[in-house]
Amino acid sequence: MPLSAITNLAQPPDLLKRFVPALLEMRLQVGGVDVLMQTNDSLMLDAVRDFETDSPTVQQAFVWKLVRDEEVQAGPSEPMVIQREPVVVVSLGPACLIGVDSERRELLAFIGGGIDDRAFRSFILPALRHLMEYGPAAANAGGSRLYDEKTLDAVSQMPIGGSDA
Amino acid sequence: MGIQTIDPATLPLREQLFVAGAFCSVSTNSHVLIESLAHWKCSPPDAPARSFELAVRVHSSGSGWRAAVPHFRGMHHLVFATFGERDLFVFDLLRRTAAGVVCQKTAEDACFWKHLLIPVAIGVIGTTMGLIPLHAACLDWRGAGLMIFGESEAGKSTLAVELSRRGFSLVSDEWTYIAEANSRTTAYGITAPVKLLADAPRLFPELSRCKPSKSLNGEIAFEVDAAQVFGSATRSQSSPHWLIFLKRSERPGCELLPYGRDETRNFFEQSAERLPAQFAEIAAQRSQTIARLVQQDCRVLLYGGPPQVAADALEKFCKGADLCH
Repeated sequence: MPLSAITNLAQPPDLLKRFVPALLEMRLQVGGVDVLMQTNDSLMLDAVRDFETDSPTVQQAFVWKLVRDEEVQAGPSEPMVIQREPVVVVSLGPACLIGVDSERRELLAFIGGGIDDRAFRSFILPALRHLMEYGPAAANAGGSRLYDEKTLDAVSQMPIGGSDA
Repeated sequence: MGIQTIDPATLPLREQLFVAGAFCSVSTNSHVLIESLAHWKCSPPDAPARSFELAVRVHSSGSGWRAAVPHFRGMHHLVFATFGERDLFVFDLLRRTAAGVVCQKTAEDACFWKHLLIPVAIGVIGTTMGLIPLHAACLDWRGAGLMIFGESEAGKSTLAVELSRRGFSLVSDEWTYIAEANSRTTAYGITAPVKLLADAPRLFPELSRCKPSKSLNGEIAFEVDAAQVFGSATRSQSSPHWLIFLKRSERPGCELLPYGRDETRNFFEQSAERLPAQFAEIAAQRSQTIARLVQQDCRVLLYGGPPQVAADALEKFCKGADLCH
């Protein structure tokens, strides 16, 4: 008798959504940084492409992995930013969770279905750029801590749209 | 609420915890939070084999709503957890750190730490320290661990409580954490409360003075301290000796059948949490621990009728075993 007949644990669900495929890939430049963008959403890919800047590379390459999280339809909540260097996390509740590891040069984000293309372009993308350009490593090198205020400024202008409480 | 810096150097209060075989160095700015974590307080270890850091800033900008269900997401080495409007954590699996910000109300809520945050932290970061979370109850009989597996509502908790009333010590009723050190395998519990479904007073009259409530997964259940309500002896750890898979049967009675080690091993491998690519070495260590675990006595318990039937069979089986190990 197989144990799968006894319990239903044989195929653990991906509860954290760690393994959502992000098969759309593009290399581009954002504010002097070479970015390898990976996503599962062509609209986000287009938005980042439009955001591309043409300036000389001044920082080591970054990976952006942006996952559209359609399971979350709630609107953004009040922003929270926590820093535990070298990691910074920006949260707008389940609607938007962004983590930046400046040491590993990774920007990882879940963007809920409740954040539309306009909000993504207007508020989230500028925040992503600030987080990458002025993240802890850059801030330490330049002695500036402005990056967090800029990030918070960017996301805090987004209209808050309810919660799933 | 603004930006919260969770730098241990700026969090003045320190505490050392011991949870499920792992040491946790806590730093915070809140005496109230230290009190909420007192359950696991321990002396600082000399050279901890398994340790992680928990840094929590308690903010004073008012309490927000608590979400009915916590929200978790993870990518690569980072896991995010939001528990409500003003409670946010990030778990960094590579650096073995958990950092978060919570409101005063959450800091004061010992149940939040005992039932939710600490078990989640162990579940998320524990794997990187060689702790394998297994969905199993665990009891101890004279130093030998009895692990009981089965899907939700198979009766693990009921059986665990019933056996604890028959002289077994309770280690855990739902999640057990397996670790290996010096060629020994150990099963740890988290001393979370025992969860019994709303109809449990039929079997356990002691529950008549308790009130069921809505549990985290939305079920109405009794979540009680087994030592207080049933007078159960409890232990924080045991050495796995028997691995029992529960299976309800239509036929009354009970059968305890041997089960193959290879099949058991395959089952554990398939049911283990998938890990990101950067944790390949940890996944390999996990496989070694599983291989050692399944060297124990593996059996399937088929039973029909009330849980006492299964408890009778297991009691007789374990108490009659030769435990000269």
